[in-house]
Amino acid sequence: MATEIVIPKLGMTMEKGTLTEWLVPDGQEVAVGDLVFHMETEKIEMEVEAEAAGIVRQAVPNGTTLPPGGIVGYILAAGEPMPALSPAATAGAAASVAPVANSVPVSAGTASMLEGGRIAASPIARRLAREAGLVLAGVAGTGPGGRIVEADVTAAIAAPPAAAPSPATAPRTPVSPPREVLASPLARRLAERFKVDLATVPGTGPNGRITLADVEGAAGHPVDQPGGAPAEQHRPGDIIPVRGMRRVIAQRMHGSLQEMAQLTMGIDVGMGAAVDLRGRLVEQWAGQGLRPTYTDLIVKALALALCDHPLLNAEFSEEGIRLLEHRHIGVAVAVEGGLLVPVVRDADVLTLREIAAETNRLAGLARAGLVLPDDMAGQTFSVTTLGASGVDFFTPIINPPNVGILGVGGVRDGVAWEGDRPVRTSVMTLSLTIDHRAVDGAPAAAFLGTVRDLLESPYRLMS
Amino acid sequence: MAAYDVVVIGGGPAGYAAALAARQRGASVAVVERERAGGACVNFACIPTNILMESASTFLDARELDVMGVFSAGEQFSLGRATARAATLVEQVARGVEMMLRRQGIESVLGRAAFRGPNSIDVALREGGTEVVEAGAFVIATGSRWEMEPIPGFPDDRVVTPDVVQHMIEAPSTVLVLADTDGHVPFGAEYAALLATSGSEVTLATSRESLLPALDADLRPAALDGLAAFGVRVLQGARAVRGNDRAISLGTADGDVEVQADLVVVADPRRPSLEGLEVERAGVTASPYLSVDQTCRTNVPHIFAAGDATGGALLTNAASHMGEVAGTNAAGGEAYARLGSIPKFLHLTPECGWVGIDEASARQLGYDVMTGTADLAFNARAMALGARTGVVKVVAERELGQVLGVHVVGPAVDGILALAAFAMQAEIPVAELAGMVQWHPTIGESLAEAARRAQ
Ligand SMILES: Cc1cc2nc3c(=O)[nH]c(=O)nc-3n(C[C@H](O)[C@H](O)[C@H](O)COP(=O)(O)OP(=O)(O)OC[C@H]3O[C@@H](n4cnc5c(N)ncnc54)[C@H](O)[C@@H]3O)c2cc1C
Repeated sequence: MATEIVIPKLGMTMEKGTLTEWLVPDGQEVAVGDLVFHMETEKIEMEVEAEAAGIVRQAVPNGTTLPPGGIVGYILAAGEPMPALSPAATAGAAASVAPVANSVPVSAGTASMLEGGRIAASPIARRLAREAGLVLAGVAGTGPGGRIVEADVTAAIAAPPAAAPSPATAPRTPVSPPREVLASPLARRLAERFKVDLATVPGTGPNGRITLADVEGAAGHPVDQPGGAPAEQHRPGDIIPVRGMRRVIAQRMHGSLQEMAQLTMGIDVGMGAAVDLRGRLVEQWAGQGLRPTYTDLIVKALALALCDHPLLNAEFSEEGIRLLEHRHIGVAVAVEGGLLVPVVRDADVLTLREIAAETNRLAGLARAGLVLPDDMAGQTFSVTTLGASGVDFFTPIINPPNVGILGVGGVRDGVAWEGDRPVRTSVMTLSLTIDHRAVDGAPAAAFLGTVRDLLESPYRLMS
Repeated sequence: MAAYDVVVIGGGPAGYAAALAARQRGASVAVVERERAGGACVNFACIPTNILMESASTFLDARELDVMGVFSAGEQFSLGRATARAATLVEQVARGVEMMLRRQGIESVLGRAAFRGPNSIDVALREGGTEVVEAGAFVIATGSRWEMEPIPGFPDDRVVTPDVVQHMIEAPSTVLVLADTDGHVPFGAEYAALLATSGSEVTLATSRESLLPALDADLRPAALDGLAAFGVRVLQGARAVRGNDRAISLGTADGDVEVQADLVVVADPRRPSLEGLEVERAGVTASPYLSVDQTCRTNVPHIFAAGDATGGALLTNAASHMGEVAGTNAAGGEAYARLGSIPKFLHLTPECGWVGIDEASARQLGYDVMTGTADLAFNARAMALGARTGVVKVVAERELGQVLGVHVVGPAVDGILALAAFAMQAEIPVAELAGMVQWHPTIGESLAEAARRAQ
């Protein structure tokens, strides 16, 4: 005789509980008192024990929310078939308050539940099931890898209702069908991996479909920040998935420091002439809507200096140090949840004006989450700026496989002496990190000196 | 004075997609267009280019038709005939766009728009006079224009853009095509192939390291061989530095190279076309592109922008998608733009196309990469088409099985591109791509094959 496993009612005000995780795999034998699943309500988390001995058959996946009394599975005797879910069986006492499994009964079959409770189903199958109020967990999948396809759902809908599993469960009021969420297959995979409840994720795809980026966003580190769909707030104790942009940053930065012998050195640059030049260009180009930044001057100076110091424009590998032909400068842009490094290609041959237009275009796209992947690859050297945050000197980490990166501080007031008289100057600190495996300190310092000279005589950037 | 819920400025692909989307949500909509419905795309970019390249590739094929048992198919190519046909078809497509807008009940205002304030524009009407038009929301879809740098010493009037070529009757004897895209699709390559087919001696130069930086490096040689088969000489990493009456000097890593040129064709760069629109009067900042978020909003919440005016991909597919998003949101809906998996295509022989990123970029971005390739030389359909080369390459990531890129060079590859773009936009894992069943023999089968090999 099948024993139902249900969401217990914990207190008068409890409206629904979420089965967060099955603690025993489908098909495993349990004794009375064994812990079967972990659940959460708005107020409490707890483990639920088996009330009978037998074999556990899961009827819903991890993450399912039901009112108290909602059936999540059964404990069966050996060889006993799994009862079909029916509206009568699954509606809990407080049935009308929450989405509840209101399924059309289906023949007992292998639910196409993959590892971790994710159900493999085609988008059409999901839509059909949603429209029919059918719970996919009970449907046997016949597609590749047990994936539920349209025909499986059609068959399940057409199947004659099976007898209610337990006469004890009296008919209850019908409830609204469960909402199958619309999500891409990859979004489902990721959500499962990081235990993100898809029902809480705003979808930005067609018809509100949840995309990979939406799950990444909901997990705290949006790759694209959808304007109207803010990522959820985080609380202490949350675990933020390391995926997408966060993962790329984590892997590259850690790998970079592990693999290379990084050395950082700083130099002060007199910025008087550069400040004047930029001021003139701001005025001159205002009509064209183009506003040059110090970073633009630095990108150009850097690219020109790399022409004179080819050792710094290189890749280190086991074969040797490969000198690169082109000077593609990656420009780090801080965005919501991390940073992106779009690339200004051939910055040595672009004019300052072209560089300004290009960095502007790329930074805008990066911040909007619209930058194309092709725009973010292939840099041979990078520049990263913390000047706006009030930082002067820092130790930037190289983007592999480059051998150097330039950190840029803010332009600040300095003092110089004209004879005995102190005069006000503009100063900026540059922080250069190099891979000491490929470049030594002296040539790196010479390179940094060239960058400084170019910025101190910036008319050379205008050619 | 007229007033609408949504006014769209610009009748190109971004503009008409925005207008249709807003109309579909029940908004009253007008499109203001200063030249001709269809924008750059219909009148002098995608459509004429595609039609002309069909002529050029048909000619290339025709030279080999005897292999298939078809004789006397054609030894001559007439650029004049091809451009005349293109002009006729362009006219039909443009009229089609106008008709479609009219049928949907979208008002067309012919004239040049300039903002008066956040909720109104002046339209200098083509028929004379000015009309003030008010709107609850605007979509700026004014596209882009060429911005050519003169080549010192070379006569300015012999530096032309592709739209001039589209109306040529006869090809010049020597041509230099400059393709300096901002890293995306070098349409100049198509014009180089077209002019070479028409009998010109053509050099195609790019100052970039590679003509096709976004195409996977494994496939670039096949694409370049194809250009060579058209008779195009390709110079990569070469920038035009100066010229005289009939020749141009290009600076390269190996020193200067001199190229004979009666004519220089410049296909890029393209800059946003915002002159005279006075967006600042509406409080919109342009720098020089219009920055938008994923809902295609500018810094002013009721003013949206889409397409080339926002920088970005500078492609019609991106423009239409953004237009639809902008139009939907302008009419009170909710939609988000996603441009990560839009297809790119060059109508050469062999054709080449790609969606997403190449293997090198995927590795650089830190993915755990797997790749698979299928050789189209063994695809029966490709053989029947008479193709000798072709490759499909799938770049995927191991963690979730996400397809990161599909790159393809070969015959009739738009079929593969369509499948790949769909699979990537729908976020279908590589294993499911590997399991798909296609008609046999088709080029599409090779995509599944490459996906199966990706591990
Ligand atoms: C040679 C060439 C070939 C190309 N081939 C392809 C291709 O094969 N596939 C592809 O995807 N892309 C292609 N492109 C790119 C494509 O043409 C553009 O990305 C696309 O046209 C952009 O659409 P849009 O609506 O943003 O702008 P546009 O098509 O430029 O339309 C903007 C419209 O706004 C109007 N307008 C501007 N200002 C005002 C104003 N103030 N008042 C009223 N109206 C105004 C203009 O007259 C124009 O009609 C090609 C480009 C070139 C140059």
